[in-house]
Amino acid sequence: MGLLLQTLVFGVLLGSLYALASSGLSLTFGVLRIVNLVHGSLLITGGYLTYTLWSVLGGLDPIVCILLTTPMMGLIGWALYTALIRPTIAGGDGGTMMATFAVMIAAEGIFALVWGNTPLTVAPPYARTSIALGDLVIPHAQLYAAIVALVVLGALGAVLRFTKLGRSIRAAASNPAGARLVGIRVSRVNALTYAIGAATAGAGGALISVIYPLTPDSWGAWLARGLAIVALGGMGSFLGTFVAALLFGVAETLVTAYVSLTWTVAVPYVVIIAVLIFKPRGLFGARGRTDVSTP
Amino acid sequence: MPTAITRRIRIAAVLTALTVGTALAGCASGGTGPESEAPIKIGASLPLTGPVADVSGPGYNGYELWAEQVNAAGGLLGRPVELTLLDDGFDQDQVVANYTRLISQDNVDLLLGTFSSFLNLPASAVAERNGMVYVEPSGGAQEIFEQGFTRLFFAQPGTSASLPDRFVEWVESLPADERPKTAAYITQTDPNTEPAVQGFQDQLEALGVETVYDESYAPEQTAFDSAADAIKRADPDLLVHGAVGEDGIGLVRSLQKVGFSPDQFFQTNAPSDIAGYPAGIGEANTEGIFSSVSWTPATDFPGSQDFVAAYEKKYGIEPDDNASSSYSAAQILQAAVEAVGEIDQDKIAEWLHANTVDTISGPMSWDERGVPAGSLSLAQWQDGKFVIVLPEDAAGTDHIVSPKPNWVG
Repeated sequence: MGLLLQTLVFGVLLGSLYALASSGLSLTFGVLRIVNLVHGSLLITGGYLTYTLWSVLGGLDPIVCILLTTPMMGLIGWALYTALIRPTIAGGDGGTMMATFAVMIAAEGIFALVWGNTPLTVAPPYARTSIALGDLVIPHAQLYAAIVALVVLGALGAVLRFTKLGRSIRAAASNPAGARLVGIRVSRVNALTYAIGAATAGAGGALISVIYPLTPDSWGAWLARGLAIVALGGMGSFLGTFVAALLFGVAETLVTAYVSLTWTVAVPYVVIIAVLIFKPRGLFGARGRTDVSTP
Repeated sequence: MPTAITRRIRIAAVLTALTVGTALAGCASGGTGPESEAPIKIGASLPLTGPVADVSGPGYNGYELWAEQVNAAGGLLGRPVELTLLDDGFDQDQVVANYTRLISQDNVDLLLGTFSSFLNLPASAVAERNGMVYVEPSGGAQEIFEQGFTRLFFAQPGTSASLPDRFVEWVESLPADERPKTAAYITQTDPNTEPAVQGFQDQLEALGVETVYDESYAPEQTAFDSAADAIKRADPDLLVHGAVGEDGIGLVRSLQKVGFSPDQFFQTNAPSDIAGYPAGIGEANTEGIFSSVSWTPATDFPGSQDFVAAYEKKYGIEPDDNASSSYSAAQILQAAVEAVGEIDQDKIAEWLHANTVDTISGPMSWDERGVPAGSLSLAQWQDGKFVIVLPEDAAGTDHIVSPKPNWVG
């Protein structure tokens, strides 16, 4: 019983971090329909920026760093979209995929040049400590990650649902021609959407850097996991992303505790295959109206 | 059943490969006389990007520093040395393509090895097929030396098979009541660490240490909280971890979070990252952690301290055992070429099989498989320093910390 409870707690905390890491991908993939292969690299950029801020500013708390990394990542996202992704949209899915693929490959080299190849870790005092409730262990850093994940996902959902910007984003995504007719500057809104997606990587990266060592190639695992989570949750549904990420986290820890550690990394791939076979639209995927939005 | 014909075809294929290989080697060593002032080209491929890039950076420096020093001293056989170092991104196909290119397109005269068993396994096969001597600075997995190769030489004092030796000797030397009674084994699925950890388990079980946990994980694994929790529940006296890179820091941090500190803790590779490891797990928490090393900056074999000084001067950082390994590999090649007096792959291999070479990692000699005669040393973090504790004649301290103190915040 103790083992099951502990495993579930680890799973939910891990899943929350996954949700935070995948929220931006859910936005770009689900709303903009861009297979944003650079999202893993954006997360790691957020992590490295946190490392630099933390080490230069004399141990500034990584969670406080989020206030700085989020706008920085948003700016990077904006530049990336305007300079490299928008020009390739005319090429269709293949065009944006190639553009983000190229950036993804180049980014690894840039990380190595700027931050070097040795693993870097951000180590605030709470990075290695836990709250103990009897036998139950709740790591501080993971708990903070879960809280930040809830805040970020909640905020994203609220913006999309209740604000004028959110309505513009949804309109620009579902019917670009119609949106243009009612005066929405679609191209600008899309750039902003991409920038918001990148900005979440500022928060995600900050928490990742506290929990895992950063290396130039760490983006791979986060990208694979993120794509699987977005596919499982359903395109553009933040609730779906959150639930899918929790399922992922719990599945990974259950496999570790009850099956074998060796099989843990297979979980995302098994999930992708299962989703494609049984529920191609994901858990919360809406049946999108494609009749009017076809460009 | 393999027929006589298939066998004959296979023999014919091997003979053809050998003939072509020898012919190629012949071409490479061909031009004497007018070309004697031309540089000696030495090629290697390194995983300069990808998951073990942190290891190969110092390895690259080791090769570079050696070439610079040799050229400053008048070159090799009176000819300048020219290094061609390619990047393979830790990809087995790419490392094969790179060594093939070095041999057949760049027409290098000599080869040096790459890093990791994962890459040296296919790379050594390319060298062997082409009749080239292959001195590898890393890649101690047993299976590399069981391919029947005759031109392969390992430039560390011992292979991975010898990795548990010193630690097990130490456990054996303890009075019965101080020995660990139970042990947990966890390793990344890697051609180097997996057999090494298996070696620990076999030898310690033979000593009566009971196995209470035994798991492996894929290189993509990042989250270790659940695994650390499982280890805590198994409550072993001794924990042996076959770490490759940042997974070393990852597992230790998870052990700290679940609040489990084993009495004895042995970890491969990760603890020798003198800068990153203490930063990742907390400097005070390194106390008492064991690992095995081929070399440390405190090693006092002839030339070793000069190497440390020259390396620090050139790169502004202390060399690690990866830098010393590539430097040693180049020293070995240099010694053989100078002794033979020409670039003749057959004679170089023959000479290395028959002689002992003095390197900064100590004197080395090899059996017919290319396995060196010695063992790796046992090292331990003590008072914020990573020091050799066994064998005694190489030790930089007179005591061993055991049991390991608890994690401190």
